Amino acid sequence: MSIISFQFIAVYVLLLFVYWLVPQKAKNWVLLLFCWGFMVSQDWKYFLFLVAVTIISYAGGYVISQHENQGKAFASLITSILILLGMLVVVKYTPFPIQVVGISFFTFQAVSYVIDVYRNDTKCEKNFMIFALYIAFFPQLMCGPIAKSKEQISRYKDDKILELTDLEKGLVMAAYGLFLKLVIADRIGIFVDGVYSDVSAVGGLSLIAVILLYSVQIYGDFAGYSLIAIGIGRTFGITLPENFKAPYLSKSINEFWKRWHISLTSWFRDYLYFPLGGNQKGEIRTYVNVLTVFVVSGIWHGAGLTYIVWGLLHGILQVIEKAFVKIKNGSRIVTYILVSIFWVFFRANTLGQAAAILGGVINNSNGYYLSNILSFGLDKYDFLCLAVAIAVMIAVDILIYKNKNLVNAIFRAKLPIRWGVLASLLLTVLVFGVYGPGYDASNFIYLKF
Amino acid sequence: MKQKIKEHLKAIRLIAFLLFFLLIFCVVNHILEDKNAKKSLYAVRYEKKNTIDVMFFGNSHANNAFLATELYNSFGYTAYNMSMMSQTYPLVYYTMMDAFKYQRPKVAVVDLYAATSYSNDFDNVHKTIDCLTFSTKIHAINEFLPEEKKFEYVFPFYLYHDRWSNLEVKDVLPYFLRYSPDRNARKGVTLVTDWAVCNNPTPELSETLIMGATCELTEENICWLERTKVLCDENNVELLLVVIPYESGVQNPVSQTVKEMQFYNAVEEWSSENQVDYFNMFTELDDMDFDFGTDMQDTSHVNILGAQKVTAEVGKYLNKNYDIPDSRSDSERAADWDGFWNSYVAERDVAIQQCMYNQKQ
Repeated sequence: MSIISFQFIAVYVLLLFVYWLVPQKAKNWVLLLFCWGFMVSQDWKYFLFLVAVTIISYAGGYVISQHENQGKAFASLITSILILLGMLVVVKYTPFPIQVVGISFFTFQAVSYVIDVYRNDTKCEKNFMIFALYIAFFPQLMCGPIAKSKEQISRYKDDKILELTDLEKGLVMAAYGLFLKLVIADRIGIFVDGVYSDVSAVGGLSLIAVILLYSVQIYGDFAGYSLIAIGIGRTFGITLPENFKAPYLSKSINEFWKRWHISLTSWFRDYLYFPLGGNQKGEIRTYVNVLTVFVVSGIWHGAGLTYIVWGLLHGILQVIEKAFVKIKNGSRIVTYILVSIFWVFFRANTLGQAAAILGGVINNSNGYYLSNILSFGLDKYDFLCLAVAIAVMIAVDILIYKNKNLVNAIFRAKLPIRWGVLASLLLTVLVFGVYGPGYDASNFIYLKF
Repeated sequence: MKQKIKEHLKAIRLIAFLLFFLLIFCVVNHILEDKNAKKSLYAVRYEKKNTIDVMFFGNSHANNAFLATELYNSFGYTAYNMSMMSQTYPLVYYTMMDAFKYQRPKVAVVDLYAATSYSNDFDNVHKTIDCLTFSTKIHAINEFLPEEKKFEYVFPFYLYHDRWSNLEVKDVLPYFLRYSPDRNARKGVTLVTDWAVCNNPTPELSETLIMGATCELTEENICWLERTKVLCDENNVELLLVVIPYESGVQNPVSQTVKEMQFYNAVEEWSSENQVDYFNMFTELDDMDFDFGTDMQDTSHVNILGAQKVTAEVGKYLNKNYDIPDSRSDSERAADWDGFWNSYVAERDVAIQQCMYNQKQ
């Protein structure tokens, strides 16, 4: 059951009713049972992994908290991390027969918990139900955002009071997420998949179009999922961390990473970059640390060489920015183009394919034309629809970049405007979204990570 | 207390929003739905209740062949053609079930070609199921469709939502204008002007017809025939099973037609055992003056010229075997149907001319 299927929507509405009807004490139980059931509906073997990760990290946190001796606590921490990451490595990077969906995300949450307990950033959570919910909360289970225990666990303990405004705000966020995913990302996906299936037949300008559009696709796909997750969370009275903040309006690669996949970037900052010494051990060490973080980030996305090159390129650019250029107010367009070029390695199946695409832009035997741009599954109306939708997305991002809280602004407006915005968003998704017979509702790009 | 009232107001606000959204959604759904598929089967709802004496059921064979409005002019019978392309016999049954909610005809004429195959073209099945009333639709979906297809039939918007790039002005017309009887003077029929030279029945086919060779009806065949009979009996409607002339199915070899003829013969036996009327027009080709050289659209379907002959023949059969009143002498009905005839005949004459022009080319 995918989070954007009609089947899910029906189950979600039912869950919402039950959740808000049951007494306060039962709410988290209702949620936890649903989360586990949701995982079983994916595959019961995934559920076993989820429970294993939950028990190991719960027990790890408990043992760490019981040791007064720092050395023993550290040994317990290392043991817990090795077991958790060991499971992740085996499932993800070896020919293991089961590819557990979401394992990278919930394992990282579990690791954050044992480290936070060790650092005394959070207390050991004795209530297993609360802890299990922190690991398994269904909206974020598949693709994040990755919540850190020190911020998140307490949110499950708070009493949940039904605020209809929260419900409406959550729905607006989820609807905008669906807009990004179904109207923009999946429409571009048809074009990108068409071009990537036979790069040799594509003209230079079409390749440039696909490079620039894939950036929008992956943003729409992933930020869309995150917003759906955050929006759904809000309807249950649970706040999830922000994951994107208008990343393509960044003026440097450094700024881009403060706005893209924020929950993963901050995870790496807190649990890898800082322990490596961060920027406190001299310039050279700082650069090495940055490169290490980005290579690990690449590996986190997948075992392929393309991901490592993608991570390395981002790391190198960050080092160059820090060491030589000292960019604070660079060019948005240059940043966008650089990020888009790097995404080619992320999207390509092999380094050879990435080279063919980038090479095809520079020297294309098919010439530089756009004439066959309509032969990859999208017609002129689709491109028109995309242009309008992307314009809306940019307008929203500009407001986000300026720290304007758009959702609050909408809900400060008069009732007809609020209703108009929500109804328009939902209708736009229903009419202009790419779905229907043959559509794979579970094709989120980040689902494979 | 104030807090409670506030909470109630919020809940009412939420419900009001949902109703508001539902209303807008219904309008959008109305605009986007596939009207071309929907028109003929849906429009029957807008005919005056219980004013249709003869209803035709079947697939594209029957949809091209039974010129309903001609029957009014020739015999005074008010008729409606409920046939739709790619209908299999179970779909004929559901269409009939739905039609009887609006009309209680004297005779239901079913073309048996729809019973020769039970393999469904699920894209075209939409054209029928989307037009059914909700209760019949749910009945049909539960009984007839595979699990993975059910959702898109219950909510056809899932399929039609991307019609936004093909919208025309007529898409925004309200139902009562779009489907008003005046706009549907052909009464569900498709006028076909294409032409193909086809062959007369092969000796093998004629022999099968004359000798009455049969095959064994499957349980499925018998089940649906019986259900149709029961449905007609319950509604006091006479059931007439007919066979329209054709050379072969569009994708089938001529030899397949011989097997189909054996099937028709078997249905004839079943009909006589079950007191159901049966009329195979292959036995009346000379009487009909049917010419496979001029009267076919392709090997499977008749064109407008063939349709006139098929309609005249079925009219004669109805006239001879049933006591259907002449609506031309009913002033109220005649006022409506004379108007339908005038609209129809202009359209028909253009179609005939076009068909003859095609033949000259």
